Amino acid sequence: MLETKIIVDTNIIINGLFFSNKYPYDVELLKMIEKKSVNLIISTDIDKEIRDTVMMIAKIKKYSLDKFDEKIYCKINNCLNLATKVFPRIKTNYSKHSLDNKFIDAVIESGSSYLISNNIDLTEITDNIQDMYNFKICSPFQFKLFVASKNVRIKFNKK
Amino acid sequence: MDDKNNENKQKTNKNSKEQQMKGDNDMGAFITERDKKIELNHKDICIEDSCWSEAMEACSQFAKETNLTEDEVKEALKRVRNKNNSRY
Repeated sequence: MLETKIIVDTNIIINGLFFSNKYPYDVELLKMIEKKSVNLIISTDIDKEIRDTVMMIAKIKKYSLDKFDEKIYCKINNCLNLATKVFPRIKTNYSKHSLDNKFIDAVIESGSSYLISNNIDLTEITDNIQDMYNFKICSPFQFKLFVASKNVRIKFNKK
Repeated sequence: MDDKNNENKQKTNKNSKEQQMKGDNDMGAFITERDKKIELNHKDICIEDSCWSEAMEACSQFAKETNLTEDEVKEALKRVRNKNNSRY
């Protein structure tokens, strides 16, 4: 299943990391990535957004940045360094919010099968576009169902 | 003439010995560097097996310690996005 490439929205990674008790499906997704059941793809823009958000959390909480770096950031850094990096050459404009387009760009560049997000703006992207690039936008829970169903997986892994 | 040739030969031999020693030292340094890299890679592999679990544990601990709320996380993401949006 490692050939199944996925793009994950920043807030799912952040919620899975910081609120593991509240977001079991986000945690499950991160565990799948850890077990290499799926291949996490990130672009430089996505990577930057995750890192900046993590550092911003430390700043908002007025936490010692040195301590944060040593205790937490280094661990997140290890995880992100293991993800497959892509450098999208095409910049699309499918989402209402320009900053959400980086996820679509990464999907197109990597040929990923799934974009996992809870963002309504992203989930509103039409089926036509999803069909055109052969990917599916879904929540972590829906992704779990897709994985559980072999038939659906085959359908979306036509590429 | 022969003396000069002998002297030159001796010089060449000395130089080649010095070069060989330098080469050996370089090789030694290379091997040390390579071993270090292997050690580092091995370390990475060890981390790789549980990196997300370790990160989740550390972050959850941080969230507990600092009473981090979901609103604060949303605010952090919003600030980052606003900052990035103004860059483009």
